[in-house]
Order: sequence, then structure tokens, then C-alpha cells
Amino acid sequence: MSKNFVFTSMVGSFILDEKLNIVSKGQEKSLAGKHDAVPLPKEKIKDFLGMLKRSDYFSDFRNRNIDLTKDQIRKSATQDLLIVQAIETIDDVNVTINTLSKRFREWFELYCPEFSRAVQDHARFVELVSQKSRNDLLSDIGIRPDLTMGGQFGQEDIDAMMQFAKHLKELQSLKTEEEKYVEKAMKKICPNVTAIAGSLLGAKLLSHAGSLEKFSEMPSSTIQLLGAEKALFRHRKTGARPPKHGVIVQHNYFTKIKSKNYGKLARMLADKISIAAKVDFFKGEFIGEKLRIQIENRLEGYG
Amino acid sequence: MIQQTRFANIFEIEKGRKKMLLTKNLVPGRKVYDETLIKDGKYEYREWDIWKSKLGSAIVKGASQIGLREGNVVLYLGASTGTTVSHVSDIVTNSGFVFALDFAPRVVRELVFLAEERKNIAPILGDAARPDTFASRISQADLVYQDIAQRDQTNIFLKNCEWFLKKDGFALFCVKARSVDVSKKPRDIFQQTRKVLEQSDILTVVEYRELDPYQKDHCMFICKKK
Repeated sequence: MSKNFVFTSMVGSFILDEKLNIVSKGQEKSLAGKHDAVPLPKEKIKDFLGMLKRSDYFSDFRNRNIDLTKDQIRKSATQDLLIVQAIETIDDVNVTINTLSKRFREWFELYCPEFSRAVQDHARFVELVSQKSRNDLLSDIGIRPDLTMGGQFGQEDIDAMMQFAKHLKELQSLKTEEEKYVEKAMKKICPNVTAIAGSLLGAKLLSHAGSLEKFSEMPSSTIQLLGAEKALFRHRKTGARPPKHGVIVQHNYFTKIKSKNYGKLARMLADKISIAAKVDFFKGEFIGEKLRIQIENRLEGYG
Repeated sequence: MIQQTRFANIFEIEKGRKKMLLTKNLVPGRKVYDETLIKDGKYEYREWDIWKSKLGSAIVKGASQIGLREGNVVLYLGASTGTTVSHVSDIVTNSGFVFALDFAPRVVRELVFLAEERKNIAPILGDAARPDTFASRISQADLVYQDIAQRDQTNIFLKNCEWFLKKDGFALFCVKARSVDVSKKPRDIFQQTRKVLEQSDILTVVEYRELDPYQKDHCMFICKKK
């Protein structure tokens, strides 16, 4: 008896003879019992695919591909992508808070300019202003209420302004809430990276990489320069001086060392982070603490 | 006045000083991206934005043939959100078929919505660099179109043509010079690519178009399988 081949496509399984004529078609399991067939070798698949180019298969191809693709998309929403969304939301909210805070100060300074100057921090400023009346605020910073440069506001005018302050405060609490979420999720998904880089910086690196899988595939030299793409390509195109670090420079350690050592520290940190990312992706044992101690031992030499 | 161009199922209309490319809308009344719809007689046409579509800009840049006609089965690699795919789907009509493949779940999501609207598109989430992984999901194709931003896009193209393109079938290949090497001159990369294509014993290069100014640092090769 001549040898038969079996090939399973989306539109069904086929038993083929040596000349690739269809002997039988059906479900994979029922066919396997009836025929003694070997899988179709790779170089013959391309010849057989021509037989499937028929309009009566089109709707099967379409429906089954839609179903399968939907399933793949469903499974592709992993938790590292949620972290990426959360950290990018935090960045956006941060920008919004700054813009709106500046607007709010402009507005409030018509009412009470002295106090706006006295408190520089946006979050604290909005918090205090929405709690106390103008007279209390002014006496807190030692100015007689009747000497203020601020104009006369009716209750309606103050209410409108305070409505704004309320939403601004909500934005600030949104930011802290999301930060808490990122911290929790990072500890669960990337414990090793979090141990070295901290949850927020770790998440930022992750969002630059796109996903944990891509992050784990990155060499440390790439991680070192995540966020410095513009400078890197300028260097590649024009031969300008290469960047030493990307977002990694936001790490706390950089505040403790001399600036001439920034490049060294960035290189070392990126190295350890790339190891940690690989461990995190393949769900290895926790080695973050060990790596962190290694970094801190070296850190003293950079001071 | 809507006129037939030299390509099957592709039309054009004079609009001021400019000409606009059109395809006949397969699903009348529905837009795919923010193109304009033009009604003429009993048919509805969709504007083909050549600034967003490399195939469209290759036509405007004077390609003499694109090998695409009604009833074709097309394998489209790098389908993205389906801007060009929708026009290819218009051109091949319901007697043809488009297998639209992309790698990123983010954009294939849009592609699924498009496929649910149109009867002749199958969305595939897969990696064009590994034809064996999606061979069971498609059939042979009359035309292979590739527009992916990968470093080894030329080899991926050759591999897919070898696997899935019928004999004498056309293959359209968009090269993005910037994803091959940012520091080299685009034209050098195009010439290098042409050499690789010609040295392979799979394809002959029929035509070559640079897509400036519509697509910066891109070119299109129109090839035919030996």
C-alpha cells in the first residue's frame, strides 16, 4: 500500500495520497483511526495549499480565523499590559495636574495672592485652600486680612473656584491610588525588578519595553538607554556624543553619587535589571535582594 | 466625474487641481477610517487616502501594474488596522478573499471589527517571520503583499512568497528603509534589497517605485514569482 499523508488545516483535516490528491476529508480524530498516514512534510504543504484556494472554503476560513483571533486577543491581555496602561495614565495625570494647578493658582491669586506665594507645593496648596477661609489662610502666614491685595469675591465666585479645587484634589488622589495599584501589581508580576528599581521606575521601564516578554528579551545596553531614543538616534545618525542613560536615571541611587559616575551606575543598574527581568518573566526564584546588595556594595565607590 | 483608472476596480475623480483615488465601497454607507464617501449613480465610492496607504501612493507614483484584480486571493502581511486592507478588499470584491495578518494584538483588534463587517477578510494574529505557524490558517494566494517594519523584512518576504504565492503570481513589497538601518542612506538600502530579491531564484523584480513624498524613506517592489 502506498503511503498516505495527513494535513490539518483550519477548514478540516485531509488525507492525501502521494500525488497530493484528496483521499478523505473530515475531523482530525476520526480520520487518524481510519488511515495510516504520516504528517505532510513542510515542502509539500505549499503545493497542497493551492487546493484550498477555492471560494467554497472562504467563509470557513473567515469565520474560524475570526474566532481563533478573538481568542488569541483575549489571551493577550496579560497583567503586565495593565501595569503599562496604569503607569502611562499616571504620567498623563501628572501632566494634567501640573497644567490645572498652574491655572488654579492664576485664578486664586486674584483672590489671595499672598498665600499662593507662601506655599509652593501644588498638592498641599490645593488641600489647604479648600479647607480654610481666606482670613484663616492669611493669618496662618502672618498677614493681616485687611491688608491683602486680593479682590472682593462674592460667594458665587468663590464657589466656582472651589469647585475647581475639588476636582483637582480628586485628580491628585487618583494619581496616588493608581500608584498604589502599580506598586501592588509590580510586586506580584515583577518582584525582582521592583526590588532593584522600585515599582514606579520598574513600571516605566516596562512601559517603554511594551510588555514583560519584550522587556525580558532586552539586553542590558538597551535597558540602559530606554527613554533616551532621541539622543541615541541622533548619535547614530550624526555621530553626536552617545547618551549614557534613559529613564533609569530617575533611580534614587543617582542622587547619592558624583555626576561623572552616572554612566557607570546606569550601566551596572541596567545590567542587574536585565537579569531581574529575565527571572521575572520565567518565574524564577526571588533574587532581587541579592542583586540589590551587589549594587549597593559597588555604590560606595561612586560617591 | 468618476473615471476608471488603468487598474481593475480602481477609480479616480478630479477634485480641484488634484486627482483622488477611489474604490467601490463593498459595504455601502460604512467608513473604515476617516475617508469621504462619494455617491455616484447606484454605486458608492470610498476615497483612498494615498498619504495613509503605501499601495495607493505607489499607484499615484506611476506603477504600471499592481497585479491586483477582482476575484484574487490576497495574503496581506502587516495588515495593521486595515486601512489598505479595506481597499484591497474593495478591489477583489466578494469573489476574492484577503488573509490579513499582523503581529500586534492592539491593531488586530481593529482588524477583527473590519472583518466582521466585510465578508472577504480573515484576520490572523501571527508572526510573518514564521510561515509554518500560520500555514494551517490560510490557503495559497494569487498575490502576496507585505508591509512590515522588520529588520529582516526581505528574507521574510522571500520566505512567504516561497510558501504561499502561486506560480506567476504577483508580490508587492514595501520596504521601510528606516527599520533596516537608520544610519544608512535609504537609496543604498533599496538597491541592496533589489540585489537580494534578484539573486533569489523565487522572484523577478518587475518594477520599483520610491514613495516620496507620500511615504518618507519607503519604496515598493513589484515582483512576479518564477
